Amino acid sequence: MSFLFSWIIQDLLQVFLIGNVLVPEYFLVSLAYPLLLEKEGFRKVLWISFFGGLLWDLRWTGLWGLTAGIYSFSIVALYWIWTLFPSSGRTPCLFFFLCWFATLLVSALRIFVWNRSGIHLPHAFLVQQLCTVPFMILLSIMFSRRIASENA
Amino acid sequence: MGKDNERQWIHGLASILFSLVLLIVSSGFSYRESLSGIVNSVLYYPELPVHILRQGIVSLEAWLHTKNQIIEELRNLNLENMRLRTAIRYEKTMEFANALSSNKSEALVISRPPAHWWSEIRIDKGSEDGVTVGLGVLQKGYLVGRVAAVERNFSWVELITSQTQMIPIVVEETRDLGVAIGDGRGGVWVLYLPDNKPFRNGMVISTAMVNELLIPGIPIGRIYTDRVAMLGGVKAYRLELEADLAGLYGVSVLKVRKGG
Repeated sequence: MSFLFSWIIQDLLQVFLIGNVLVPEYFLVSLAYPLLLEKEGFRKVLWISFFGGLLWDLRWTGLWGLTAGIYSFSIVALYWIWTLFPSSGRTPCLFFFLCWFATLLVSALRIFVWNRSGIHLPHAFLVQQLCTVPFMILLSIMFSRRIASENA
Repeated sequence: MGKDNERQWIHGLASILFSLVLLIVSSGFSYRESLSGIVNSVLYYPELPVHILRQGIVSLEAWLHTKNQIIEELRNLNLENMRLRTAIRYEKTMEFANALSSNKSEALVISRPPAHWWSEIRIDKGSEDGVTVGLGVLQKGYLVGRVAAVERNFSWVELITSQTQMIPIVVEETRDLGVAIGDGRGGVWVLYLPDNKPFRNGMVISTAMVNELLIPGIPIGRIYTDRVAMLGGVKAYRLELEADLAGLYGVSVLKVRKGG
């Protein structure tokens, strides 16, 4: 349900910001949080990301599979890098950078698609990052507290 | 654990491959548009408030932009209008000055007492020539004073620069009324103009209605807003006369016909 909520939020933001800025990737970050906290299974998160991306393509890009693929790839890459680290190394800082890496991956794709539409990309990207980074910092703090409470 | 891990990667790979296949083959789907249409229809209602909000912001932005543009345009038009009015008034004033020439009697200045240099002159026309007290006296179409006393063959004219001469005036461009008063030293000042009006250098000053002997619209000179003084606690603007009071050899007495 929270995934649906974050998808809707991202969709509404896209409606609001269309043509001016890249939409913040709240859906992807909201998937990464329970995945890396191991609150949700990898397969579940993966297919939610796939279908969320597919729905996004149906609604916005018109290129079925584009966002679905990049979301899936981001989740796979995110999880793969995460599992490379031992439990002691899975810090909030790593969580933040992995989330950021994932959103940058998606942004790069969107910039590639947008590049043909003549929109002022540095501005669009900057605003997107200004909206996304605080959200990721918040999730990192929550992540840190969660880890601390579990260790206590 | 290892098998489960393997399955996870298979799922990951499958989702990516499935996406790629979908990306390649979906362009050929005949029901592509209708599927997207269904998604759009479903999302229409949740998105509606945001659409309205966005539209409102866009309209507000456009309104603000248009408003600023209109204000700028209005400012330019006002400036242009003022310039045009100045030009028209000046032209009209000149026409009027010329028209006055046909209704006046030429007179020679026969005396100018040095003790009252900026206050009075004597001219060689009197009551026999139809001169009466209060008539306007012009030089080259511009007001220089009014007839103060009349004898049979000569008259005394009180100059506009006299300290006791007060003539109601109008600023032609703005139609604001005031009073012109001499300082007894060759200068003339305009009093009682409103403070909140944007008077500019060079605005034309003419007579306003005084009485039936001194008609309105006789040009006097131009106002200079950068030369301001306080006369008796009242703000006064310098009035530069168009007439040459230093070279006052001949004048015209403006006679007024009955009934205008």
